[in-house]
Amino acid sequence: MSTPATIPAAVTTRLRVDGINTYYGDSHVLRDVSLHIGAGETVALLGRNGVGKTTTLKSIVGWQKPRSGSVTLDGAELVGRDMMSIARMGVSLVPEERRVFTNLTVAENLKIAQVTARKPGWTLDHVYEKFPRLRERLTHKGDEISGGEKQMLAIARALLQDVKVLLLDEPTEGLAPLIVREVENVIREIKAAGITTLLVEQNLYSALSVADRCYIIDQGEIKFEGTPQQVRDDAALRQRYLHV
Amino acid sequence: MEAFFEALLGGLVLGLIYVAIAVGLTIIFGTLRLVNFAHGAFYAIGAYVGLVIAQHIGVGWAFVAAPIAVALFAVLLDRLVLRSFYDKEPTAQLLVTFGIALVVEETLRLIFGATTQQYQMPGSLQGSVTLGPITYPAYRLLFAAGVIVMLALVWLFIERTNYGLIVRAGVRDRIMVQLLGGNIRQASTIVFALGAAIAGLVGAAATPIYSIDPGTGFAFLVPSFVVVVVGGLGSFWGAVLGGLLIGELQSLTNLAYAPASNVVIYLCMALVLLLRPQGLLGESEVIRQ
Repeated sequence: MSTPATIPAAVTTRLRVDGINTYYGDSHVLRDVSLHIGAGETVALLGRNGVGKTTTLKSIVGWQKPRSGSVTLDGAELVGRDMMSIARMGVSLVPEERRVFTNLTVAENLKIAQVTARKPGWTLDHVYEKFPRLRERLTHKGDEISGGEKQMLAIARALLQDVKVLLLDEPTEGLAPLIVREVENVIREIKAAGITTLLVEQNLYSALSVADRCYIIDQGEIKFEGTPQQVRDDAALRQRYLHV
Repeated sequence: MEAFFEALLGGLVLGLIYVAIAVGLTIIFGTLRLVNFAHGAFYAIGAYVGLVIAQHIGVGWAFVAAPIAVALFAVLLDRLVLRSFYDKEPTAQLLVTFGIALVVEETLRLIFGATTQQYQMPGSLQGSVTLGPITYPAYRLLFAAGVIVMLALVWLFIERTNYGLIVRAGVRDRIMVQLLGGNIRQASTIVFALGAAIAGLVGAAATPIYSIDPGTGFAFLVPSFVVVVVGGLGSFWGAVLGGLLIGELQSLTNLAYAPASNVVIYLCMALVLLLRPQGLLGESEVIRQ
């Protein structure tokens, strides 16, 4: 790993992943992965397809349980807890496929986030202010809205809860360039609201434009930790691990 | 013509029993992905609990005790046995629930014997009602109305309550419900108990109409599975439509040519599977884990 952690001294660590090893059957997918995110930080986890980015997020939320290592939120251990408990502690994953409930309306998709929240987060009015398109689609079923709207809905669902750490998995994947810019703006607003965010992205320049720090993962191991500027400046690093 | 109307009403009553059992089957499958061959046993247990309570305490209490007893039995069964089979392949679920159904049937045979039994309704409910050209037993009409009210309440629970919202979301994506902090396990237990309680209540309430024996569970289970397949796996309204269709088909065929009344429902199922494999109101989309 090239550069040590660069969280400013005054920022407390909100989420710490410490040496986790995660397997799919016998396949060793994550190898001693460690990272940390300070309160209010936006951190990007970069890497090519299939190198362990999504598995890292799944390991944090208890979807894919690590066999060893530790994940803590404000010092409280998450490994060993189930997905529901981790979500109720304030770790919210917006998954790659968005996983909007297609049999429910947009309004119901939002309501279920309020119903299942341990503590409320944003109000509906605040959500509609930030995602005005959702207000226009309230009575539409989840399978009747566009990919961009699904992404907005998935993020809005998370923000309706008292989220301490937001995990965004490929939020711009499969979206038209115009919609990508909208999603980037939403991520900037989330950042401005002070919500701690771990962003997984293959869209390098999109991620670098919003991140405070970034990690690069390759073949299940963290290979780099540093600033977006360092990634921009290091062509060899990008070529080696990101193929760009 | 009188015989036709009688068969039509008979088909409605029979169809509503199928609907009640199939709704339980379909919401349990939708939420838990559990192919529950023990569901007929819930009907049978409810029927026998109702029989004992009606004979020793009173008919009214039978309608209270049967669903509660069956729901408790279902929760125990879920916690002790079925929960570890939720993520198993359908064959394993089928075998274990089939085994449970056999154990229940033989236990009922040991306790109550193999003979058919029935209890009588109080005198006030034994009369008949004149409906145009026919007179029809009042209790059967009351039973039909009661099942319709019960189904309406179940629909309201699923569509209008927060628990129902979690259940409907869980039907599509159990993982995402948990990622949002939803207690899918608790919702699943409630759904399982609810489905069982419906079958138990209908079992108790139908015993004055259809006599019972230890094999009653299977006798109603098999057509109810046909109903679920015809209506569409996981669909509430599919179970309603399928149940009424199969009930009427069986009853009217019985009037026209009785030996064909059981065969016709399987022909209907085969036809639906050929023309619309997802069932009349089912969705073709692959449902997530």
